[in-house]
Amino acid sequence: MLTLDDILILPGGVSVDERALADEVRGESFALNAAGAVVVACQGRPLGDAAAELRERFGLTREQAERDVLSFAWLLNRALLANIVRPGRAPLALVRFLAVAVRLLPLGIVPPMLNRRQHLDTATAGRVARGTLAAAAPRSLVATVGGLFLSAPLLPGDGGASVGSWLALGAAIGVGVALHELGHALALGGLPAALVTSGLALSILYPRSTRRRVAAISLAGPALPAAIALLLATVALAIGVPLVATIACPLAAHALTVTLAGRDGRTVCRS
Amino acid sequence: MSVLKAFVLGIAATAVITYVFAAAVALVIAASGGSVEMTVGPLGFIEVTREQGESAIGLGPGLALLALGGGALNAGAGVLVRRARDRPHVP
Repeated sequence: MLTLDDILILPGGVSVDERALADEVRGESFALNAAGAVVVACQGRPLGDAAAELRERFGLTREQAERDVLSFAWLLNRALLANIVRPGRAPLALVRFLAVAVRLLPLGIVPPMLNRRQHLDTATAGRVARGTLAAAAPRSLVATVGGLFLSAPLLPGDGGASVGSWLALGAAIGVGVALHELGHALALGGLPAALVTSGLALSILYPRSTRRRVAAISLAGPALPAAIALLLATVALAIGVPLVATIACPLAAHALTVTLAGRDGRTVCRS
Repeated sequence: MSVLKAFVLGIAATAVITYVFAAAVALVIAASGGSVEMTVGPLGFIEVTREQGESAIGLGPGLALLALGGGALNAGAGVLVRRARDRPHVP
């Protein structure tokens, strides 16, 4: 769903030389043909400029050049080798996305999301935490709002939750999302890495590694919120404060992702 | 797909979840001044008793059995996944 106004940008950790894109995180190079090299050379400018350049250099028709550029830019984004920047304000882009989604709804198709790759500095735990928490913040916020919305029926009436504990529960849901990703990122232990967001999904790209290390990185994500939940529940039992145990519940739920119902659990069992 | 890993992970996940949720339920009941005894046959899960204005909370061995059940369920899912993966593909 790209347009010729969109701009292709190579993310940190991806560099271009003569005829190849080098991915520092995956430690791999991806060969470019002459047309691909032209498109990549036009990074930072609208895709329409790349299409015009292709037309000029290779004598293509306008439609063919535009189709080639758009499909190649889409391919690079799918392969996490390029980010696509949409000019204009984010709310407008969201409205455009929703309009496409509504049109595709009768066909049962969900419009694909653009990937966004960000370099993650893994030199120190502090930098990992800053980078990961900043990237996870929007998802945490959405999780908090969603959690508050879904738990709203608990609120009214006698014996219902107080507004304070309802808000604390919502905040714990959002914090849990951030802690989960932080756990994965902290387990990288200095490996080159990138954060990849696709819609509301956040994942971490890192080099091929030993099975043991992959399992450790996968386990560390759910382990961090689950360990905090265990600690909170034990403290709550010791001091007799139900709110502390209530806050621990959404954090404990992350333990579910180490079962086969979760991607982390499936990765650990395969490795 | 390691069935043993699936079993251990299932136990760990269910143990964490049952412990934390049981603690939350017991504390909410204790805070509301109630008392409850959740048991299935001889197996106790949560016990909240109130004596002389003080609440006592007990988490029973039934929670450990639930964790074992979670492990068995996850291992079962692992077996199914492995069978599905090993099934020959018919073009």
